[in-house]
Amino acid sequence: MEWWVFLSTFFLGLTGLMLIGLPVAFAFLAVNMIGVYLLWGGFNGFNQLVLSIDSSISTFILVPIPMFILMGSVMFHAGIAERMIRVIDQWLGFISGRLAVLTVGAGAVLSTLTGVAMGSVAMLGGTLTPEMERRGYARTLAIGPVLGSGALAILIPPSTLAIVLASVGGFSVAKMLIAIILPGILLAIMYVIYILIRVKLRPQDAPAYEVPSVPLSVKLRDTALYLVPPVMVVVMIVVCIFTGLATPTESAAIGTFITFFLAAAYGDLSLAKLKHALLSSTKLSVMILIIMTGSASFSQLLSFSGATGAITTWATALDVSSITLMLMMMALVLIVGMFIEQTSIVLITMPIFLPIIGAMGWDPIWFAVVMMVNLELATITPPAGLSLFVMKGVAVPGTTMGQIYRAALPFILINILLMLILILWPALALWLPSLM
Amino acid sequence: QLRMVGAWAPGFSPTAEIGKSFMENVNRLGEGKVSIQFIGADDVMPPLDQPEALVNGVFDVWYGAPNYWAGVVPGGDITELSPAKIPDGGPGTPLYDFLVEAFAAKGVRYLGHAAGVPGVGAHYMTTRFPLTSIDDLKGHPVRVTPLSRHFVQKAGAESITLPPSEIFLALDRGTVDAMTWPIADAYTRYGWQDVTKYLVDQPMYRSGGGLAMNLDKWNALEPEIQQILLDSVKETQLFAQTWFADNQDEQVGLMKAAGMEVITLDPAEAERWNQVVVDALWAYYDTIYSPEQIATIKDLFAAAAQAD
Amino acid sequence: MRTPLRVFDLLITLMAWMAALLLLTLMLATVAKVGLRATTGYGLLGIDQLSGLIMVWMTFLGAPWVLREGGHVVVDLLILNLRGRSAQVFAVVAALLGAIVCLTIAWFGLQAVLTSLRRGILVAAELEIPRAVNIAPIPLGMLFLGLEFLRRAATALSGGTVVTQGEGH
Ligand code: NA
Ligand code: NA
Repeated sequence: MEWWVFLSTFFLGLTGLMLIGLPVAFAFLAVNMIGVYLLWGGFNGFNQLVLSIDSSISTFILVPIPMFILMGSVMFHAGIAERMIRVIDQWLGFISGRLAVLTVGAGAVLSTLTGVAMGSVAMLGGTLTPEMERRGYARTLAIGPVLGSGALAILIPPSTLAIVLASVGGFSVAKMLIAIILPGILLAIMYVIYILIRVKLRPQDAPAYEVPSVPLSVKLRDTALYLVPPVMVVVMIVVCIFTGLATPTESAAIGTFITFFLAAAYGDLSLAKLKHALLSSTKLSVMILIIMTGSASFSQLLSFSGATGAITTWATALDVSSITLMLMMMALVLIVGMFIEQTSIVLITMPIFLPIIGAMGWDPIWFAVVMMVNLELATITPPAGLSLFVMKGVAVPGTTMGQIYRAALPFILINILLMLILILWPALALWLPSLM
Repeated sequence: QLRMVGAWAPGFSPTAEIGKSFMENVNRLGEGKVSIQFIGADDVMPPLDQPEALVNGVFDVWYGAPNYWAGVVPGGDITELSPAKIPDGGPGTPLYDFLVEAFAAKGVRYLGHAAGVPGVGAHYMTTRFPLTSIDDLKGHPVRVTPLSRHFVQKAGAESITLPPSEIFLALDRGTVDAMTWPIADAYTRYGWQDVTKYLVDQPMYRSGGGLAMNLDKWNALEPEIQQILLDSVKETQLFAQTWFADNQDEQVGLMKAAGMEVITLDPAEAERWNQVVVDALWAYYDTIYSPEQIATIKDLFAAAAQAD
Repeated sequence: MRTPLRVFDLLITLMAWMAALLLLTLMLATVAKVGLRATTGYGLLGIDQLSGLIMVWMTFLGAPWVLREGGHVVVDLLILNLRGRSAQVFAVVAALLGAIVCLTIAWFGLQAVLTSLRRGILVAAELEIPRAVNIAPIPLGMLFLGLEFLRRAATALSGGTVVTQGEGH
C-alpha cells in the first residue's frame, strides 16, 4: 500500500470516529486495529497491539501524571487554593483592573498546584468572573483572564502535559519541567501587561472600586500561613528535580505525599473530601492514560507504513528556512488544536515531528517548549477548546459562546506572540535547563 | 523479500552496523533470490518490544543486543560468557546448533551473535569516582543493563535501570555515579565522557550484536536461501571482530581526549573483578538451565574455544 | 435483567475503588523507596518497575467506571449540534463501534495473556515477573468497557440520554 493512501485513510478514519462521538482513546485504538491488520500480518499482529498497549503506559516515567493530578486535587478539595487566592487579593491593593490582574496572579499561583487547565478555569471562573461582573467589568475582561490563566496551569510545573510530551518524544522529563518555568512566568507577565494597557485605554472596561485595606501584619501572617507552605511544596519538587536530588517521578510522589499532610494541617481534610479528591484524580488520570494506550502503536504504524519517513524527507527537502519550517509545524498544531484536546494532538503530531526535529538538528527541548505553549493554547482556541466549555458552564447565566470566544482572542494572540518570541530566542527556553 | 527491524538505527550506533552488514551480505550473495528490506529501528518499535514482535511475525529479521532476548528466550544470551573468538562458534558448530534449538523452542530462528574477540567491544564500567578494587563499588548507585545488573548487585552496589536518554542527567546530578556500557557502541556520542571521570579497563561479557529471524518465515525458505543467510551470518561475524576493535580504539581515544582516566586494576584485583562478573552471570543462568544443561554449555564453550 | 445489571455496576464500582487504591499505592511505594534510600542508603529494588505495572492495572480497572461516568474525552464538536433522530443514530453507532473495539481487544488480549504464559515470557527487569501479569488487566478492562458500551448503545436506542462529558473535571 502507498504510504499516502495509508496516511489519509488513517487520519480520515480517526477524524470520522472522533466526530461521531467515539471517545478519542477508542478512536485511536480502532484505527490502530485496522493499521495492525494491514501492516502487521493480519490477526497475528493483534497480539503485538495488546503488548504495545502495555508498553505505552507501563513506565515509571509517566507516574508524575497521576501524582500531579492527585496533588492538585487534594489542594483544591482541602480549600488550600481558595486561601491562596484570598492572600493574593489582600496584597494587590488598589490598581486599575485589579480583579483581572488578580485573576492572572491567582491563576499563576494555582498553576503551581495543578497540572491541568480545567480545574483552574472552573475555580477562577466560578468565583472571580461573577465578582468582576458585579463590579461592572466588561464581560470579555471578566472572562478572558480566566481562560488565559487556565492555560498557565499547563505551562508552569507541575504539568501533566509536559510529562506526556516528554514521554512520547523521548525527551528528558526533568529538563522539560525546568524548561517551561521561564516561558510560564513570562506568559503571566504578558497577560498582566495586556490587562494594564487595555484598562488604561478603556477605563470603562474595569471600573475602580473601594478596596478595604488589610493591615500589614494580617497580610504577612496570612501569607506565611496560607501562601508559602503550598508554594513551597512545588518549589521543593522543582528544586529536587533541578539539583538531581530525586527523579521527577520521585519528586512528584513526595510532593503529593506532603500535600496530604498540608491539607490535614489546615484541618480541612475530612474523609468525604479525601474520597472525593481520590476518586476525581483517579478519573482524570485514567482519562489521560487510556488515551496514551494508543500512543505506541499509532506512531509505530505510521513509521511502519513509510509515512513518517516520506513526510520527513519531504519536509526537510522543502526550500524554506529552518524558522519557516518550524512556523509551518506550529501552524499545523494550532489548527489541529482547534478541534481536539492536547494529549491526542501530541499522539498525532509527534511521530511525524520527531524525525524532522532530528533531521533539522533542532534542540528537542526548545521544540518541546514551543510545542507546550501551542498545546496549552489549544484549550482556549475556538471552537472546541475544553476550557471554553468549562467557562460556559461556570459563567454568569446569559453568557454566549460568542462572548467567550471574543474574550479568549486577545489571550490567544498573546500566546502566539510568546511562541514567536521563543522561536526567535531559543535561549529563553534553554537557559534554565542548560544550568542543570 | 524479508523485512528487517533493529534495535538501533545504523549511523549512530556502531552495533547497528551488524544488522546493516548482514543485510548487505544477504542482498549481495542472494541477488535475484532473496533480499532484506530495512524498515526501521527504535522509531518503528521500542527495542524491548521487538523480540516478541518478531515471534508474532510483525517483521521477519531482527538485530539488536543478544540480551534483549532475556524475557522471551531465557538464557538465550548465554554466549555473553563464551570464550570463543566468534561467540557462538558460527553456523554449523555444535554450540551454534545448541542455540538454534533453544530459540526454536520459542518460535525464533537464531541467526548469530557477532562480536569482537573476547575482551574487545565488551561492557565496561565507567565511574565518577576513583577505584582500585571491586569493593569500591559498594553502596554506589550504578546504571545497569539487564545483563550487568547481576554483577552490580553481587558487588554490593545499587543497580538502577535507566533509558539511555536519562543517563547523562542522572550522572551529572549524581543520581547514579557509575554506569556500565559497551563503550565501543558510541559512548562519547552521548556526551557521557563529560560526566564520568574513570574507565575501568576490565572487559565484562561479550556484548556485540545479535541476529534472529521469525521461525515460520525461516522454515518457509528454500534450503538454498537458508544457506545464503547462513553464509551472510558468517561474513558478518568475521566483519564484527575488527569492527568492534576499531570502534573501541576510537572511543577510548575520545574518552581520554575529554580528560577521562583509564584505571588499570592490579592483576589480582582484575582477576577478582572478573570472577565476580563471570560468577554473577553463571549464577543467573543456574536459575534458568538445569545442571546438566550448564555442563553441556560449558563443554560446548570449551570445544568452541579449542577450535579457534 | 435487573440483578445482572446491578452486579455489573457493582463490579465496575469495585474496580474503580481498586484503581483509586492503586493510585495511593503508587505514591506510597515511591515515597517508601526514597525514604529507604535516604535512611539506609539503598533504594527499594524494583519499585520503578512495579510502578509501571500499577499504571496499567489502575488504567484498565478504572476505565469502565470512567466510561460509565462519562469521563472519557470526546470531541463533541459535531454531536453537540445534533438534535433528535440524527443525534440518536450517532450515539448508537458510536457506542456500538466502541463495543466492537473493546470486545475485540478483550478477546485478543486474552489470547495475548495465554500466549505469553504458554511461551513463558518474562519481563527482563529488576523483578522477573511474567509479562502476562502486565497484560492481564487489558482484556479484563476491555471486557467491561465493551459491555458498558453495549449498555450505552441500548440506552441510546431506547431514546435515553448518554452521558458524554462528565461533571468530574
Ligand atoms: Na501547573
Ligand atoms: Na481547541
